[in-house]
Amino acid sequence: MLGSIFDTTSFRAARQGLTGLSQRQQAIASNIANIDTPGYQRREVSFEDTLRQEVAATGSRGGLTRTDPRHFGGGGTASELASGSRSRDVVASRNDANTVDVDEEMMLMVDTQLRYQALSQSIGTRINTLRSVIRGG
Amino acid sequence: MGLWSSLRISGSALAAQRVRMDTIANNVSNMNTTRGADGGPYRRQSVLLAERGQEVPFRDFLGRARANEPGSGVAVTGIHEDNSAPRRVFDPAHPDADAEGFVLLPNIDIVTEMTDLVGAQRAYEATVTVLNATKSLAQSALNIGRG
Repeated sequence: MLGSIFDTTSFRAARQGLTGLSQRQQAIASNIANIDTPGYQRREVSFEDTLRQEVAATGSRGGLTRTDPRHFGGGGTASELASGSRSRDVVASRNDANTVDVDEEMMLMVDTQLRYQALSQSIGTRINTLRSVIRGG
Repeated sequence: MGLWSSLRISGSALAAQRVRMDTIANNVSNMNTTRGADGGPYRRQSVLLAERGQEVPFRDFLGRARANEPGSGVAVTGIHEDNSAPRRVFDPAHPDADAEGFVLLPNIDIVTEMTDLVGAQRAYEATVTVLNATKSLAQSALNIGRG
């Protein structure tokens, strides 16, 4: 019973989101660590698209479904989530062919940090809701 | 687990930048050393950095195979000696002066060393910032479900 409480689509999506964000943090750490390594190509982690597809697929299997075209989809609107995944043609502007840009990495890091906090807070809220249900108000 | 790896990666970067700063300190302090290890003037040293290979620590091997990790840090692969020509300064009173009165001084340019030092320092600071961000990520994960 408790297993199915924690096994909802949104809960799983939040968990996957946290994993993806911590992987992204690792990529940022690696990029900053290799800031002076000649020839280093920057790494990036994008998982939002896959996660959105997965959430949408789960929705059609009986989770959240959109019953009216004017409703928001269960996986969030495309523009809402797509803002997290970025791809960019990197041209090395440095003599050592390193493609790391500190400013970009720092921005991405703050972005990752805030998303991580938001997600973990939303999971925490859900757990607190469950706790108050268990206690009976 | 992404966050522990991030901490390890940042740690490797802090170590590498420290080696860089040590090397620069060594260069600056030997700016006027006319008798180096090989008898001639001291030669400028520089650090070679490379991305750390995807070596898999044993404890991770036990858990799962990690084929596709996003980065694994930086490593100092060696300290390179700069073989450019030494500076030749006219100073007949110097005990190491040759027959014409010229002394061979190390091939160290203080401006290059100082700019390198600032670069290493900023890289160190950036790494510390990343380290703190990783820490706050871990902290917010630990706070899930509290209170």
